[in-house]
Amino acid sequence: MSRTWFSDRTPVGIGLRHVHYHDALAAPADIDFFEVHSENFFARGGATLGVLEEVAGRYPVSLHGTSLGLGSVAGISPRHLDSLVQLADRISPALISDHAAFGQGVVGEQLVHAGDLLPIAFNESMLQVMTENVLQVQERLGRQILVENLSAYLEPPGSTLTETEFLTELAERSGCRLLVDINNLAVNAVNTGIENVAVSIKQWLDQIPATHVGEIHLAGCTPAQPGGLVIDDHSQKVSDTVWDGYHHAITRFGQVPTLIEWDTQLPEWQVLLNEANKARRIAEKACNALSENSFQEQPV
Amino acid sequence: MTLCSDFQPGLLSAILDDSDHHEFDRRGLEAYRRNLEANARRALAISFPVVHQLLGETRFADACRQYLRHSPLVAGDWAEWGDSFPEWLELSGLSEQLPYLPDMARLDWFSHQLGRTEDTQLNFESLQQLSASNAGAGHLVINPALRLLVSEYPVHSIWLAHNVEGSEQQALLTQAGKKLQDRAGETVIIWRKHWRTEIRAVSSAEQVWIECQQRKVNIDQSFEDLSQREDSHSFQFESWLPDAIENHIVIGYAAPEND
Repeated sequence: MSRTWFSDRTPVGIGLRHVHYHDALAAPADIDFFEVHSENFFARGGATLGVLEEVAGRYPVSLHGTSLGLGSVAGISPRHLDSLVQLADRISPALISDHAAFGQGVVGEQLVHAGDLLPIAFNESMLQVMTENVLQVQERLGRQILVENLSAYLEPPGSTLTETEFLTELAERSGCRLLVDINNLAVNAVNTGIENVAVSIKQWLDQIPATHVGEIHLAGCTPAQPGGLVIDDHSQKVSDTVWDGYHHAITRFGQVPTLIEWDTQLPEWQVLLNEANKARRIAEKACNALSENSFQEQPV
Repeated sequence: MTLCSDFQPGLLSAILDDSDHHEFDRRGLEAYRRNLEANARRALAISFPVVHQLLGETRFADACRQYLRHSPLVAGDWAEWGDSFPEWLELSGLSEQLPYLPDMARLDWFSHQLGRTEDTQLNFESLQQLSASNAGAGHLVINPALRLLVSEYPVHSIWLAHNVEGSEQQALLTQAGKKLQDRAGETVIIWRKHWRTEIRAVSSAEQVWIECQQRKVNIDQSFEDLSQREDSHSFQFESWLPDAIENHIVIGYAAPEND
């Protein structure tokens, strides 16, 4: 069973991938939690699940889904949800999350899955679909989930709300919390041609009520080819722009659990630990600045 | 296309086929198509490592692309995708060049699935009943995850040659090549001992014995069936049983009243 965090510092975790299983278990790391992709552990048994159980015995674990399809008009796959419930029962995760995206739909007469996180329109109709899906998942799990903002490579037609309005309303209607991925904000800003990405990120963060935020994701990605889109491939160190946004996020949201995500071109374990330490230092600095400001604002 | 109920299947359909869809932003659509193909290739490379090696990077990527159009992903778990890949390979031109490819794919898939099945435990108590005088009326419980593959090709030898590295591999490849030339088929069993996948070739007599136990034919009758075969002498039950228990091929004994 997973421990929960009792630390008085900002909990900082690492996305745990196959190549680092041994590192994670070989020696205690100064890591507050590990996050894994839920779908990678949907097996009924075997070594991979065994490793996760061992990790969960030592650290809090966060289950992060990539294919629940919370924004799917076709609904949530009952089988997928069963697998998630079974895994959650087995691991007792500290957090469970997925994305504000759709994954499956009926093409011809066949239900197909994109195996990807596809964008949704931000409007009342989608809000109803997503609220219903999130409520269904939370009811089956018997707990609150977190929903992550997406990096989208095309803009679905029909949006009548901003992304922040949509997510805020979703959190209020469903009782879910939000997982704010700051690199996704940077990717979307670059891909839509926004000149001042850093300002755009801060504006987005300022529009989200602090009480709704339950986790932050930090990642880096490969720069775009000329004329191409930036793809959120989680293949690099966190960029300066994203670190800057993170500092701002902590001043807005407080000591929110923070994850270093790295999924492709995985580096040495120590690189991930260094990124986690950097996140902790920035979070600490942001919290100190926050305390100083609060102190200065006290009436004399 | 403003309703999300139209947009979602429309985008999925556009990602899955190769034609131009002008209603979607071209760069975005291409990004999703590339991502889907990369995910599919990564998933099949994990599930079919020997097929991946046999085909090489370019032909494997091409096969993945074609298979994806033929059998799109239907659930969100990539690890469950690919069960019809062996049959698809059988019908593809690739199996004309490498006729043993579909059977190697079957073996890959069995192995992949084995890594995901429920963990099994030895039932020691039940095995103690084997010393009873009427033990022949019951049957042995074969590991439920064990799969048996009868092939016209030397699948075990090819498998071994692609699961070792270094100097040993060349010798095994030569050996497998020789068996292919000799048209020597092999029957294999593949199962899991604790967390490790095991594979070995079996004689036709052992195959018959295992199949009898899987069909819950009682031990006495299984011996009777086996004795009808010319090669029955190649199966020695007394030495086979302890080894089969030790290796989790047999995980228990079912007395007749328990069936």
